[in-house]
Amino acid sequence: MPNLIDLRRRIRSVKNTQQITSAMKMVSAAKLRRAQDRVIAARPYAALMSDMLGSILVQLPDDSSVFEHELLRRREEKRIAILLISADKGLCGAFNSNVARFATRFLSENPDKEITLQCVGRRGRDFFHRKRVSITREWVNLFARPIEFAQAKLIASDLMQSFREKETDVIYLLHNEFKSALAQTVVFRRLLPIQPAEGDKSAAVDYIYEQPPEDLFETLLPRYIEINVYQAMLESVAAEHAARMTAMDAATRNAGEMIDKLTLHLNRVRQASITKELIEVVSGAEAL
Amino acid sequence: MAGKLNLEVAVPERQLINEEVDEVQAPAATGYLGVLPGHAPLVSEVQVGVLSFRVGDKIRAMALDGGVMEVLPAHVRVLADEAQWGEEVDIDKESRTRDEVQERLRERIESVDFDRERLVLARAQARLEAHARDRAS
Repeated sequence: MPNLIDLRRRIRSVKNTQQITSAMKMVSAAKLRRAQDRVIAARPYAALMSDMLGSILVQLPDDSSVFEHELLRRREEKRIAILLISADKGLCGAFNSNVARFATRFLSENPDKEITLQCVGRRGRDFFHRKRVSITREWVNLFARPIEFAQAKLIASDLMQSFREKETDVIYLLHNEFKSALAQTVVFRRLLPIQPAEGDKSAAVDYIYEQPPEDLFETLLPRYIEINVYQAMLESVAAEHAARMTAMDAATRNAGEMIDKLTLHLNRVRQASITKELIEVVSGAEAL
Repeated sequence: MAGKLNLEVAVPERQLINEEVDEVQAPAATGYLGVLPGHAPLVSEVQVGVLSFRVGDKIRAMALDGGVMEVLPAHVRVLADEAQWGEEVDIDKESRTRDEVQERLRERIESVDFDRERLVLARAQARLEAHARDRAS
Protein backbone atom coordinates (compact mmCIF):
# COMPACT_ATOMS: atom_id res chain seq x y z
CA MET A 1 0.00 0.00 0.00
CA PRO A 2 1.96 3.06 -1.19
CA ASN A 3 -0.62 5.34 0.41
CA LEU A 4 0.23 4.12 3.92
CA ILE A 5 3.95 4.54 3.41
CA ASP A 6 3.45 8.07 2.11
CA LEU A 7 1.36 8.98 5.09
CA ARG A 8 3.90 7.60 7.54
CA ARG A 9 6.64 9.54 5.81
CA ARG A 10 4.69 12.77 6.05
CA ILE A 11 3.97 12.28 9.71
CA ARG A 12 7.64 11.69 10.39
CA SER A 13 8.63 14.85 8.54
CA VAL A 14 6.08 16.97 10.40
CA LYS A 15 7.33 15.51 13.66
CA ASN A 16 10.87 16.53 12.80
CA THR A 17 9.74 20.05 12.02
CA GLN A 18 7.87 20.15 15.30
CA GLN A 19 10.98 19.14 17.18
CA ILE A 20 12.92 21.96 15.56
CA THR A 21 10.29 24.59 16.24
CA SER A 22 9.90 23.55 19.85
CA ALA A 23 13.67 23.64 20.34
CA MET A 24 13.78 27.11 18.78
CA LYS A 25 11.02 28.19 21.09
CA MET A 26 12.96 27.01 24.11
CA VAL A 27 16.15 28.72 22.94
CA SER A 28 14.27 31.96 22.32
CA ALA A 29 12.70 31.81 25.76
CA ALA A 30 16.13 31.54 27.36
CA LYS A 31 17.54 34.33 25.21
CA LEU A 32 14.52 36.48 25.90
CA ARG A 33 15.12 36.28 29.62
CA ARG A 34 18.67 37.44 29.24
CA ALA A 35 17.72 40.20 26.79
CA GLN A 36 15.01 41.36 29.14
CA ASP A 37 17.45 41.58 32.04
CA ARG A 38 19.74 43.73 29.93
CA VAL A 39 16.95 46.09 28.95
CA ILE A 40 16.03 46.53 32.59
CA ALA A 41 19.67 46.99 33.65
CA ALA A 42 20.15 49.75 31.08
CA ARG A 43 17.09 51.71 32.18
CA PRO A 44 18.53 53.59 35.21
CA TYR A 45 21.26 55.21 33.12
CA ALA A 46 18.85 56.31 30.43
CA ALA A 47 16.40 57.65 33.00
CA LEU A 48 19.10 59.54 34.89
CA MET A 49 20.40 60.92 31.64
CA SER A 50 17.12 62.42 30.49
CA ASP A 51 16.43 63.69 34.01
CA MET A 52 19.76 65.42 34.18
CA LEU A 53 19.51 66.84 30.69
CA GLY A 54 16.00 68.10 31.35
CA SER A 55 16.79 69.73 34.68
CA ILE A 56 19.88 71.45 33.33
CA LEU A 57 18.19 72.73 30.18
CA VAL A 58 15.20 74.03 32.09
CA GLN A 59 17.17 76.39 34.27
CA LEU A 60 19.26 77.87 31.46
CA PRO A 61 18.09 81.26 30.17
CA ASP A 62 16.23 81.04 26.87
CA ASP A 63 18.96 82.90 25.03
CA SER A 64 21.70 80.66 26.32
CA SER A 65 24.24 79.69 23.70
CA VAL A 66 23.69 76.07 24.64
CA PHE A 67 20.50 76.07 22.59
CA GLU A 68 22.60 76.90 19.57
CA HIS A 69 24.40 73.59 19.96
CA GLU A 70 24.42 71.84 16.63
CA LEU A 71 22.81 68.69 17.98
CA LEU A 72 19.86 70.70 19.30
CA ARG A 73 19.21 73.03 16.42
CA ARG A 74 16.40 72.28 14.01
CA ARG A 75 16.83 72.66 10.29
CA GLU A 76 14.39 72.47 7.46
CA GLU A 77 13.69 68.77 7.02
CA LYS A 78 14.58 68.02 3.46
CA ARG A 79 16.91 65.08 3.84
CA ILE A 80 15.66 62.48 6.22
CA ALA A 81 17.58 59.51 7.51
CA ILE A 82 15.97 56.59 9.29
CA LEU A 83 17.92 54.24 11.48
CA LEU A 84 15.99 51.04 10.95
CA ILE A 85 16.65 48.28 13.43
CA SER A 86 15.52 44.82 12.37
CA ALA A 87 16.75 41.31 13.11
CA ASP A 88 19.46 39.33 11.40
CA LYS A 89 17.30 36.25 11.17
CA GLY A 90 13.75 35.47 10.16
CA LEU A 91 11.28 33.00 11.63
CA CYS A 92 10.06 35.53 14.13
CA GLY A 93 6.53 36.28 13.02
CA ALA A 94 5.76 39.80 11.88
CA PHE A 95 8.79 41.25 13.67
CA ASN A 96 10.76 42.25 10.58
CA SER A 97 7.82 42.97 8.32
CA ASN A 98 6.34 45.38 10.87
CA VAL A 99 9.28 47.76 10.69
CA ALA A 100 9.62 47.20 6.96
CA ARG A 101 5.98 48.03 6.39
CA PHE A 102 6.23 51.17 8.50
CA ALA A 103 9.27 52.37 6.58
CA THR A 104 7.66 51.57 3.23
CA ARG A 105 4.61 53.59 4.17
CA PHE A 106 6.75 56.47 5.37
CA LEU A 107 8.62 56.43 2.07
CA SER A 108 5.45 56.52 -0.01
CA GLU A 109 3.89 59.24 2.15
CA ASN A 110 6.88 61.53 1.73
CA PRO A 111 7.76 61.37 -1.96
CA ASP A 112 9.04 64.96 -1.97
CA LYS A 113 11.70 64.28 0.65
CA GLU A 114 15.05 62.72 0.17
CA ILE A 115 14.97 59.71 2.44
CA THR A 116 17.84 57.40 3.14
CA LEU A 117 18.02 54.37 5.36
CA GLN A 118 20.66 53.17 7.73
CA CYS A 119 20.04 49.57 8.55
CA VAL A 120 20.97 47.61 11.62
CA GLY A 121 20.14 43.96 11.02
CA ARG A 122 20.31 41.84 7.89
CA ARG A 123 16.59 41.41 7.29
CA GLY A 124 15.78 45.07 6.97
CA ARG A 125 18.78 45.66 4.79
CA ASP A 126 17.93 42.81 2.41
CA PHE A 127 14.34 43.93 2.13
CA PHE A 128 15.14 47.51 1.15
CA HIS A 129 18.09 46.48 -0.92
CA ARG A 130 15.71 44.49 -3.11
CA LYS A 131 13.40 47.49 -3.29
CA ARG A 132 16.29 49.68 -4.40
CA VAL A 133 15.93 52.15 -1.56
CA SER A 134 19.19 53.94 -0.89
CA ILE A 135 20.89 52.49 2.17
CA THR A 136 23.76 54.70 3.24
CA ARG A 137 25.08 52.56 6.05
CA GLU A 138 24.47 49.07 7.26
CA TRP A 139 25.45 46.96 10.21
CA VAL A 140 24.69 43.28 9.93
CA ASN A 141 25.42 40.34 12.21
CA LEU A 142 25.64 42.55 15.28
CA PHE A 143 22.94 40.51 16.95
CA ALA A 144 24.87 37.25 16.79
CA ARG A 145 26.36 38.16 20.15
CA PRO A 146 25.00 40.25 23.01
CA ILE A 147 24.90 43.93 22.11
CA GLU A 148 27.64 45.97 23.68
CA PHE A 149 27.51 49.65 24.42
CA ALA A 150 30.61 50.20 22.30
CA GLN A 151 28.71 49.07 19.21
CA ALA A 152 25.87 51.47 19.88
CA LYS A 153 28.48 54.16 20.42
CA LEU A 154 29.97 53.55 16.97
CA ILE A 155 26.60 53.69 15.28
CA ALA A 156 25.66 56.82 17.23
CA SER A 157 28.87 58.63 16.37
CA ASP A 158 28.30 57.76 12.74
CA LEU A 159 24.80 59.24 12.89
CA MET A 160 26.00 62.36 14.66
CA GLN A 161 28.69 62.86 12.08
CA SER A 162 26.28 62.67 9.18
CA PHE A 163 24.02 65.10 11.01
CA ARG A 164 26.83 67.52 11.78
CA GLU A 165 28.07 67.45 8.21
CA LYS A 166 24.55 68.21 7.07
CA GLU A 167 24.19 65.04 5.05
CA THR A 168 20.86 64.73 6.79
CA ASP A 169 18.59 67.30 8.41
CA VAL A 170 16.79 64.96 10.71
CA ILE A 171 17.34 61.40 11.90
CA TYR A 172 14.58 59.10 13.04
CA LEU A 173 14.80 55.88 14.94
CA LEU A 174 12.58 52.99 13.82
CA HIS A 175 12.54 49.77 15.79
CA ASN A 176 10.45 47.21 17.61
CA GLU A 177 9.88 47.86 21.26
CA PHE A 178 9.51 45.12 23.81
CA LYS A 179 6.14 45.52 25.51
CA SER A 180 5.67 42.02 26.85
CA ALA A 181 6.44 38.48 25.78
CA LEU A 182 3.30 38.60 23.65
CA ALA A 183 3.31 42.14 22.34
CA GLN A 184 5.82 44.17 20.40
CA THR A 185 5.11 47.61 19.07
CA VAL A 186 6.84 49.59 16.37
CA VAL A 187 8.44 52.78 17.66
CA PHE A 188 9.24 55.70 15.41
CA ARG A 189 10.77 58.76 17.00
CA ARG A 190 13.15 61.58 16.32
CA LEU A 191 16.72 61.05 17.45
CA LEU A 192 18.38 64.14 16.03
CA PRO A 193 18.07 67.05 16.53
CA ILE A 194 17.48 66.33 20.19
CA GLN A 195 14.17 67.49 21.58
CA PRO A 196 14.64 67.94 25.31
CA ALA A 197 11.76 66.94 27.52
CA GLU A 198 9.70 69.93 28.62
CA GLY A 199 10.71 70.47 32.22
CA ASP A 200 8.98 72.41 34.93
CA LYS A 201 10.39 75.93 35.00
CA SER A 202 9.36 76.51 38.60
CA ALA A 203 11.28 73.46 39.79
CA ALA A 204 14.47 74.78 38.21
CA VAL A 205 17.56 74.45 40.39
CA ASP A 206 20.32 76.98 40.28
CA TYR A 207 23.37 74.84 39.63
CA ILE A 208 26.97 75.65 40.26
CA TYR A 209 28.89 74.75 37.14
CA GLU A 210 32.33 73.30 37.57
CA GLN A 211 32.87 74.16 33.93
CA PRO A 212 30.90 76.17 31.36
CA PRO A 213 27.57 74.52 30.47
CA GLU A 214 28.66 74.47 26.83
CA ASP A 215 31.55 72.16 27.68
CA LEU A 216 29.31 69.97 29.73
CA PHE A 217 26.87 69.63 26.86
CA GLU A 218 29.69 68.67 24.58
CA THR A 219 29.92 65.44 26.55
CA LEU A 220 26.33 65.11 27.67
CA LEU A 221 24.54 65.37 24.33
CA PRO A 222 26.54 62.72 22.46
CA ARG A 223 26.06 60.39 25.44
CA TYR A 224 22.37 60.99 25.21
CA ILE A 225 22.31 59.90 21.58
CA GLU A 226 24.46 56.88 22.32
CA ILE A 227 22.28 55.66 25.15
CA ASN A 228 19.20 56.12 22.98
CA VAL A 229 20.66 54.00 20.21
CA TYR A 230 21.83 51.43 22.74
CA GLN A 231 18.43 51.19 24.35
CA ALA A 232 16.69 50.91 21.00
CA MET A 233 18.97 48.01 20.10
CA LEU A 234 18.40 46.25 23.40
CA GLU A 235 14.65 46.70 23.08
CA SER A 236 14.77 45.36 19.57
CA VAL A 237 16.72 42.27 20.63
CA ALA A 238 14.27 41.51 23.44
CA ALA A 239 11.34 42.05 21.10
CA GLU A 240 12.90 39.79 18.49
CA HIS A 241 13.26 36.88 20.89
CA ALA A 242 9.76 37.44 22.21
CA ALA A 243 8.36 37.46 18.68
CA ARG A 244 10.27 34.34 17.75
CA MET A 245 9.13 32.58 20.87
CA THR A 246 5.49 33.32 20.10
CA ALA A 247 5.88 32.38 16.44
CA MET A 248 7.60 29.11 17.26
CA ASP A 249 5.03 28.28 19.90
CA ALA A 250 2.28 28.69 17.29
CA ALA A 251 4.26 26.62 14.80
CA THR A 252 4.74 23.83 17.32
CA ARG A 253 1.04 23.79 18.06
CA ASN A 254 0.13 23.76 14.37
CA ALA A 255 2.49 20.88 13.76
CA GLY A 256 0.83 18.99 16.61
CA GLU A 257 -2.59 19.51 15.05
CA MET A 258 -1.32 18.35 11.70
CA ILE A 259 0.20 15.22 13.21
CA ASP A 260 -3.11 14.41 14.90
CA LYS A 261 -5.02 14.84 11.66
CA LEU A 262 -2.56 12.78 9.65
CA THR A 263 -2.49 10.03 12.27
CA LEU A 264 -6.27 9.83 12.24
CA HIS A 265 -6.24 9.61 8.47
CA LEU A 266 -3.52 6.97 8.57
CA ASN A 267 -5.47 4.82 11.02
CA ARG A 268 -8.60 5.06 8.91
CA VAL A 269 -6.77 4.04 5.76
CA ARG A 270 -5.11 1.16 7.57
CA GLN A 271 -8.39 -0.01 9.09
CA ALA A 272 -10.09 0.22 5.69
CA SER A 273 -7.45 -2.01 4.15
CA ILE A 274 -7.73 -4.54 6.99
CA THR A 275 -11.51 -4.61 6.60
CA LYS A 276 -11.15 -5.08 2.90
CA GLU A 277 -8.77 -8.00 3.34
CA LEU A 278 -11.08 -9.59 5.91
CA ILE A 279 -14.03 -9.32 3.53
CA GLU A 280 -11.95 -10.91 0.84
CA VAL A 281 -10.97 -13.81 3.13
CA VAL A 282 -14.51 -14.31 4.40
CA SER A 283 -16.12 -14.16 0.98
CA GLY A 284 -13.41 -16.51 -0.36
CA ALA A 285 -14.25 -18.99 2.45
CA GLU A 286 -17.96 -18.74 1.73
CA ALA A 287 -17.41 -19.44 -1.93
CA LEU A 288 -15.93 -22.86 -1.05
CA MET B 1 23.27 68.78 59.07
CA ALA B 2 21.77 65.41 59.65
CA GLY B 3 20.22 63.44 56.84
CA LYS B 4 21.44 61.17 54.16
CA LEU B 5 22.55 61.41 50.59
CA ASN B 6 21.02 59.24 47.94
CA LEU B 7 23.88 58.03 45.77
CA GLU B 8 23.17 56.69 42.30
CA VAL B 9 25.89 55.50 40.00
CA ALA B 10 25.02 54.05 36.62
CA VAL B 11 26.88 53.00 33.49
CA PRO B 12 25.05 52.30 30.23
CA GLU B 13 24.89 48.57 30.93
CA ARG B 14 23.85 48.60 34.56
CA GLN B 15 23.28 50.51 37.75
CA LEU B 16 26.02 50.01 40.32
CA ILE B 17 24.38 51.56 43.31
CA ASN B 18 21.24 53.33 44.43
CA GLU B 19 21.54 53.71 48.18
CA GLU B 20 21.47 56.11 51.10
CA VAL B 21 24.96 57.12 52.15
CA ASP B 22 26.55 59.63 54.54
CA GLU B 23 29.35 61.08 52.48
CA VAL B 24 30.68 60.90 48.92
CA GLN B 25 34.02 61.73 47.39
CA ALA B 26 34.10 61.97 43.63
CA PRO B 27 36.71 62.81 40.99
CA ALA B 28 35.14 65.99 39.57
CA ALA B 29 36.56 67.94 36.64
CA THR B 30 38.65 70.24 38.80
CA GLY B 31 39.75 67.73 41.40
CA TYR B 32 38.29 65.54 44.08
CA LEU B 33 35.03 66.78 45.48
CA GLY B 34 33.67 65.87 48.89
CA VAL B 35 29.90 65.90 49.19
CA LEU B 36 27.94 65.89 52.44
CA PRO B 37 24.15 66.05 52.75
CA GLY B 38 22.90 69.57 52.04
CA HIS B 39 25.50 70.34 49.39
CA ALA B 40 24.71 73.13 46.94
CA PRO B 41 23.40 71.99 43.53
CA LEU B 42 26.24 71.36 41.14
CA VAL B 43 26.95 69.70 37.84
CA SER B 44 30.35 68.64 36.66
CA GLU B 45 32.17 66.27 34.44
CA VAL B 46 33.80 63.31 36.10
CA GLN B 47 37.38 62.35 35.48
CA VAL B 48 39.08 59.00 35.58
CA GLY B 49 39.46 58.32 39.28
CA VAL B 50 38.07 56.74 42.40
CA LEU B 51 34.66 57.44 43.79
CA SER B 52 34.33 56.52 47.43
CA PHE B 53 31.49 56.84 49.85
CA ARG B 54 30.81 56.21 53.50
CA VAL B 55 27.84 54.57 55.15
CA GLY B 56 28.25 54.69 58.92
CA ASP B 57 31.89 53.73 59.34
CA LYS B 58 31.96 51.50 56.28
CA ILE B 59 33.82 52.87 53.28
CA ARG B 60 33.40 51.55 49.77
CA ALA B 61 35.13 52.57 46.56
CA MET B 62 34.74 52.18 42.83
CA ALA B 63 36.81 53.19 39.83
CA LEU B 64 35.21 55.58 37.33
CA ASP B 65 36.19 56.16 33.73
CA GLY B 66 34.83 59.62 33.15
CA GLY B 67 31.27 60.78 32.78
CA VAL B 68 29.06 63.43 34.38
CA MET B 69 27.74 64.02 37.85
CA GLU B 70 24.92 66.02 39.34
CA VAL B 71 24.80 67.02 42.99
CA LEU B 72 21.59 68.08 44.71
CA PRO B 73 21.14 68.67 48.46
CA ALA B 74 19.95 65.10 48.99
CA HIS B 75 21.21 63.37 45.85
CA VAL B 76 24.41 62.52 44.07
CA ARG B 77 23.93 61.10 40.60
CA VAL B 78 26.84 59.89 38.56
CA LEU B 79 26.60 58.83 34.94
CA ALA B 80 29.87 57.10 34.24
CA ASP B 81 31.16 55.81 30.95
CA GLU B 82 32.55 52.84 32.76
CA ALA B 83 32.70 51.92 36.41
CA GLN B 84 33.91 49.02 38.46
CA TRP B 85 33.59 48.18 42.12
CA GLY B 86 36.94 47.97 43.83
CA GLU B 87 36.32 44.37 44.75
CA GLU B 88 35.60 43.47 41.12
CA VAL B 89 38.96 44.71 39.93
CA ASP B 90 41.27 42.12 38.45
CA ILE B 91 44.47 43.21 40.25
CA ASP B 92 46.83 41.02 38.25
CA LYS B 93 45.55 42.34 34.95
CA GLU B 94 45.52 45.99 36.03
CA SER B 95 48.96 45.94 37.62
CA ARG B 96 50.35 44.26 34.50
CA THR B 97 48.79 47.02 32.38
CA ARG B 98 50.23 49.64 34.71
CA ASP B 99 53.73 48.18 34.53
CA GLU B 100 53.61 47.82 30.76
CA VAL B 101 52.46 51.38 30.22
CA GLN B 102 55.04 52.75 32.65
CA GLU B 103 57.69 50.81 30.80
CA ARG B 104 56.58 52.25 27.47
CA LEU B 105 56.44 55.77 28.89
CA ARG B 106 59.94 55.41 30.36
CA GLU B 107 61.44 54.27 27.08
CA ARG B 108 60.07 57.38 25.36
CA ILE B 109 59.55 55.71 22.04
CA GLU B 110 58.45 58.24 19.45
CA SER B 111 55.59 56.14 18.15
CA VAL B 112 53.91 56.06 21.54
CA ASP B 113 50.78 58.15 21.84
CA PHE B 114 51.48 59.73 25.21
CA ASP B 115 48.02 61.12 25.90
CA ARG B 116 46.47 57.77 25.25
CA GLU B 117 49.03 55.89 27.29
CA ARG B 118 48.56 58.27 30.20
CA LEU B 119 44.84 57.69 30.12
CA VAL B 120 45.34 53.93 30.14
CA LEU B 121 47.74 54.33 33.03
CA ALA B 122 45.34 56.55 34.96
CA ARG B 123 42.58 53.98 34.51
CA ALA B 124 44.71 51.13 35.74
CA GLN B 125 45.87 53.16 38.72
CA ALA B 126 42.34 54.25 39.60
CA ARG B 127 41.19 50.62 39.52
CA LEU B 128 44.03 49.47 41.71
CA GLU B 129 43.39 52.26 44.16
CA ALA B 130 39.70 51.50 44.25
CA HIS B 131 40.54 47.91 44.98
CA ALA B 132 42.83 48.90 47.82
CA ARG B 133 40.21 51.17 49.38
CA ASP B 134 37.09 49.13 48.85
CA ARG B 135 36.03 47.40 52.05
CA ALA B 136 32.96 45.45 51.13
CA SER B 137 32.39 43.72 54.43
